[in-house]
Amino acid sequence: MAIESPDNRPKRVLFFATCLVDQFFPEVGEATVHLLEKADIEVIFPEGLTCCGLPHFNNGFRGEARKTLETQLHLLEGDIPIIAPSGSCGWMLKCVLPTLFPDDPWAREKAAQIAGRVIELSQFLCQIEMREFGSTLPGKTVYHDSCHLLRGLGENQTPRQCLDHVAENREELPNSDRCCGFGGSFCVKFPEVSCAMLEDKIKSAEEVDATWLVAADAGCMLNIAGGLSRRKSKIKLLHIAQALAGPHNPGWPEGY
Amino acid sequence: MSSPFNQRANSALVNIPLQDALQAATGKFANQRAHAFESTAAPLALRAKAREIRRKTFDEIDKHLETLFTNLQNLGVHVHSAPDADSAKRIVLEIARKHNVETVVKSKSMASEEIHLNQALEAAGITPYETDLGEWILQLANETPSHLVAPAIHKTLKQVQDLFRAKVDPNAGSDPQELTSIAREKLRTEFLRAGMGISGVNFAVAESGTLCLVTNEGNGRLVTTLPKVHVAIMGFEKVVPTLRDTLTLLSVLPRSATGQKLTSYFTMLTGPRRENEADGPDEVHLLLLDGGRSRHLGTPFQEAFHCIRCGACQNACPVFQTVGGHTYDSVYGGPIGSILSPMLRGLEVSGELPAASSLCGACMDACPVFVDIPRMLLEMREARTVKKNNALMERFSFRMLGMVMRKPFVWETGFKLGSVFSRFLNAKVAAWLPGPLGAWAQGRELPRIAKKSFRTRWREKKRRGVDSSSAANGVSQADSPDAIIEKTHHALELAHGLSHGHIDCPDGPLPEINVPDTVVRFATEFEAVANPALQPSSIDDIREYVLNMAAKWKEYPVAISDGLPVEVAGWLMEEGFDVISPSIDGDNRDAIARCGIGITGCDWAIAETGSIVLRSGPGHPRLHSLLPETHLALVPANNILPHISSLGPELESIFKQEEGHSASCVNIITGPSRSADIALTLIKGVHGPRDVFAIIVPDVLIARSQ
Ligand code: SF4
Repeated sequence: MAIESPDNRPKRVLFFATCLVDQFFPEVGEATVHLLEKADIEVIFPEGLTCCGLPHFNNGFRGEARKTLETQLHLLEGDIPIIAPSGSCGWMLKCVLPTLFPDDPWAREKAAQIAGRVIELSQFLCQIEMREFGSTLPGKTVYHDSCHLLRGLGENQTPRQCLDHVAENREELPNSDRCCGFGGSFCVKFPEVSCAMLEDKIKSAEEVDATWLVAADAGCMLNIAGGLSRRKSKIKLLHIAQALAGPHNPGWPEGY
Repeated sequence: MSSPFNQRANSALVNIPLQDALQAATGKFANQRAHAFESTAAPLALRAKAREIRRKTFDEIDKHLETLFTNLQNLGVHVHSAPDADSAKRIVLEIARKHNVETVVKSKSMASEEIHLNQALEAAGITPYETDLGEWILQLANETPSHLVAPAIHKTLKQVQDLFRAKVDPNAGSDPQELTSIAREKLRTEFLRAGMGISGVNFAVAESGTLCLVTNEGNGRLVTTLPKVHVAIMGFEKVVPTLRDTLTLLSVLPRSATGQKLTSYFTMLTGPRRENEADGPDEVHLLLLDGGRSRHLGTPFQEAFHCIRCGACQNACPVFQTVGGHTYDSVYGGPIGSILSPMLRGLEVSGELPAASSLCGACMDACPVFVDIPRMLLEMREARTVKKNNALMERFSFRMLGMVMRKPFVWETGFKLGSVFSRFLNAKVAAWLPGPLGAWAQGRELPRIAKKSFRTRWREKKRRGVDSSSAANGVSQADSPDAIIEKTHHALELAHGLSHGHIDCPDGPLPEINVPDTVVRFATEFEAVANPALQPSSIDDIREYVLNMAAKWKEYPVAISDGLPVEVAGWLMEEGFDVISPSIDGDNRDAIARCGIGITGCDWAIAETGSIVLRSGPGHPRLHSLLPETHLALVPANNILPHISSLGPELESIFKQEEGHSASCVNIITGPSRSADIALTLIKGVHGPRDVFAIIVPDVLIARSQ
């Protein structure tokens, strides 16, 4: 990445907050900003950014996804890393965006340039070798592999590496790589199947008696949070940014 | 009104025995698959190679099919092609009528399921018998398969027992072994008298005209050996260019399907029985079924043809694990079925299936040839949108959502309103609502839209601090074109979507596991799949082994192939055994069927898998290693090859030779006949031998005995 500070960290990054974080989990955004600023990195959030277009793309509305991203391309231009706090949006920007403009060389080139700068939050934190988070997560922490980070971006290491810096006791969640049943529109088109998958996920966290269930995608969080409160489960759900920022810091969920 | 998939899913979800069976089966298979690749030198490279073979095949599919047809015709195989199910059925019936066929034995064939062949046969007064244990159970129950490799996984032991009592034997017990024996006896009779055998094809090797079957029970061998007429049915996707490619695919198929290094039988059929051979069909037909396939060549869905039907994606899929195969209401269920079904039957019939996936990607991760199922699910969803095959409401909502997303102001205002609205809505109320909110609330509390969005909080924070946002972002230094290309390339590589990243196909030969001593390795592996391999140090030892083994079958004759490394027939006759020798002038299937033990040589053995390779030929009937309950192979130590791939040149020299020298059949035999179709219990001796023994004969003893 360009504009790097002497210690191999970029001076600033662009934060792609994602629509779900913006509207449902603003704390995740605050925790992310806290972490980045703690690393002495200036965070830029262009307010015109809304959504990566994944909901459209995943439901067969490629044209709509293209239009949505097209209106945001100019906001993503530049040469600083683009941080996504979510594997699925990261995958959309990194892997799908460059394929959306086959007939428009100008947009295609822009898209490719943007895609090359996108990086998921935990990957970024590992890349800049951030080790001091200044907080600890007491109790038992388990990590749920969010599907798009795991198989879309091929990443299962960095979330665990990051968590190991703060978690007092991190254990592997049984079947951690099994989908939680969210899948975007899937969870409302096939609610019973989705809920059965969700139940399996929550049960496996309960079986190991986890204190914290950590996910790296606001999509999974939306789903898992709904299931946890319906079951009145005592498991507490965190986004990886919140887990790393730690208790009592910006972005820590109310009531935890 | 819940959709058809949902209705079927809901009944599957409350079917407790089904849930238990699914959990046990898919979990077991997935687990075994994960370990099966540990026995290869470079699992990912092997899979990448297999993918490359599949990809390249479809680059020149026309050429390969032409080669296949030419070679088949030169071998005397009748080749038919059927554009659709009706013509396929007509062709099969014509062949059956010509030979006055009354009963047909079938081994598993997805293509014949596709065209509902059994109903057509029955309507024409011909009785078909499914002979795969699982398929036979389903035929008795009048049900369809629910899994690619374990068709009857949805049936519990109790259900099978009840079925057998009602339809086969009122006294059937509850032991899977006993139930299997009942099936063996009943079906053996049918095998021996059937006029025609119908099978599927796993691989059709273009360069040699070889039709390959991958089976465990032995029914595939019986179906293609005993009846005078053999009809194989397949879609064009089964074609594989070369014998060596086939061996590579064989290295990944059973591992991905059942976790075995090799299945009990890999059968390579190359034309009808040769004149000097004792058994095998006199007439062989290959029926190529199009059935909606060719229109997808050259489209984004062509990749679905790379599938080698291992079922690994089904076992890995959390949706399949939850609802089972019948919920997909198609011959092909699970992830690959959600592509294949709309491809073959149209979006109008199966358009809902591509949506019934959370796109988690576990399927592609598990797939031995990395079929990019998630990509095709997306393309299929898009095709549906473009064709306006999905609900009007869905199209409308997504268009609206798109408009909102493109107007940050509307976006923000909309959510502010939503936030207020959502304060008044709880899940109990929402659960009664139609549409997505109601669906969400079925098992989940509603998410709360934040009172203050992130962008609002951001603005407040900025107001508190120094505003440094937009200006800084303007400092853009465009990357050089080269850098851009490099970055793009990286991005597209990742688009493959695998938890283990992108894998390149290695150039040159694949790495193989180290086999320092073929005899030692063979003995170890053979013991793992069958029995301890016997290692004599003298001719007397061999005599003792053979006589001891035969003694267990005192009352029965012994079938002995010609040209064994050590002649054993004399010893047995001295001891008063009735010896059945190969016959070339008549069918002695009944005599062989009465034998308790069949003794064969071994043309090659494979150390890494403990397999015995037998080629048919004069004095080497296929049935000696198939009909008796025990099979004993005399394995010359010199014939043990280290790897499956070492067999490549040998197969080429058999099958690529001029007419007259070649063999009609080569079998790779790995352990006894087996099945786990009844309640996942492993049963040996389903249709073929229950026991396989090997005597490794050192070179010195062979020389001495001759
Ligand atoms: S798509 Fe892949 S995993 Fe699924 S059955 Fe076919 S080969 Fe096996």
